[in-house]
Amino acid sequence: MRPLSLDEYKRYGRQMIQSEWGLPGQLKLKRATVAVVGAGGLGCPVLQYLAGAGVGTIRIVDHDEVDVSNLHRQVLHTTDRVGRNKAESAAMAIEALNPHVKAVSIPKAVHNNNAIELLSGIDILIDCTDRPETRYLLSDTAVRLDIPLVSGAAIASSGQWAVYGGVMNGKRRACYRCMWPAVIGDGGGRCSDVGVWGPVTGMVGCGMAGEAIKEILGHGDGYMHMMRLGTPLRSIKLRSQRPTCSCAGGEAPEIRVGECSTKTTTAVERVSPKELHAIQDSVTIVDTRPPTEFGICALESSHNVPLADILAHPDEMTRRYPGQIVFVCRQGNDSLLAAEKVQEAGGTVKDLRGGLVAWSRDVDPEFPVY
Amino acid sequence: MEAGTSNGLGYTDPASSTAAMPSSVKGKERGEIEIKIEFGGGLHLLFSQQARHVVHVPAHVPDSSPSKPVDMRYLVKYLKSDLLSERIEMFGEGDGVRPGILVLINDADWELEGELDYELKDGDEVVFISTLHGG
Repeated sequence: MRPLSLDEYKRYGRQMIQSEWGLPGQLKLKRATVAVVGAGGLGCPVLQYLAGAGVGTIRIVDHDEVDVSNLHRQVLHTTDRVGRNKAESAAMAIEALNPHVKAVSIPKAVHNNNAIELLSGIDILIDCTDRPETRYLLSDTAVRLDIPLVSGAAIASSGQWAVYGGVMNGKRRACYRCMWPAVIGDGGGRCSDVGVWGPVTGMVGCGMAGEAIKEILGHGDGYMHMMRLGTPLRSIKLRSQRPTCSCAGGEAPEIRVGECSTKTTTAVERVSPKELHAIQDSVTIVDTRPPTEFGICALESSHNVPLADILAHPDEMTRRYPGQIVFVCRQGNDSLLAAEKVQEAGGTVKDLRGGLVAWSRDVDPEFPVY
Repeated sequence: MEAGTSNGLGYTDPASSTAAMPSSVKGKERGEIEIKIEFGGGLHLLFSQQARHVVHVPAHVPDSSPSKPVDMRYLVKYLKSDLLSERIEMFGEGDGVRPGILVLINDADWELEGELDYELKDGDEVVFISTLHGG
């Protein structure tokens, strides 16, 4: 009996005829089980290429729902599936792409108590999430399950990816913690705050899919790749396991995240969108967003002074706008920080609670939310 | 500070920071070497929001006797004192850099190159990078 169906010979022919692939490689893929955590900007291309290549069983783990703001980069989801669970939406897409693949959707969040249960029995774990806590949890889980972890990240026009952990040429590769024992700052920010190029998540996701396939075929190497759109790819040899790391029996270091969160130092008076609407003509509205965002949409008669400039010279604000200033931003975090600094410098300030998102919800439904 | 390239908390649009590179520097003087520096993963926020810099440092550590070629220890100290624009604690720790910052010398992990003891050569490229989290 033939190990593949006639359709599969035809379907996989273009990859199977390569010497490093062949029928044995295709059968390795068919027997493999991988888990992709996160069916977003990275997960979509990863899933798409793994399913296309014929990975036998793919678990898709994501608790989130498809939002219209995801669609510029999360290319497996569709406009008519907005609101559906992402794992289920992605499973529908890859089943349509390749009926030989068994897609198992798991519409749950991965956390400390269920990670082992959800992820045991897989050959490779693929981290397509977007939070440092989850990234370290998945690395620790891969170490526990003794399987390689393909991990990638993308933000704005930059990306990174690598295979961590597992054994290569008889030596243990560095795990994610070995390479990144601590989080610096906020790890470049989140896509919803900073923005991201769709093609950049696509490039990183394709790189991750390639690494996963190489691992399954037995051609894994040990490079980490770093990209920024418009500059050459930078690839470096990953170091081997760090003897003091928790993956080698050391203590798991505490993960410190987000040293840039807003800390309230002085109480600033906050106004609701309706309250601001009532006093709008008698105050100076200062919008702390970057000019690019200000250029997308802004309140009439508001002034744009980006947060960084305010923080650099808070006293200048009181000179420029001696009366009542109301600070606004998209969601009300940056503007609060600005308001606190200017108040400390002697300014008369208020802050719009909930930002322009709340303004759109409570005062002007025609005001765009992005 | 460049207006409008940062939200102050997050990440600068790298397109705008690469457009600004390399930093304008005066010509290399006698006895100096040129080092290319790049910051990735958001670290450029600490260095005037600019990803790429070109710096000129003395070929030998000043006042060293016997004269000692300039090394990574000197460069890291120089970056902290002359190039860092904010929050030294986010970059430096002791003589070196904070854990979680990967240092590449000519695209090799500096662990393989002797870390702080690596002796710099004219034209070397040194990259400091931290991990990204978006997805």
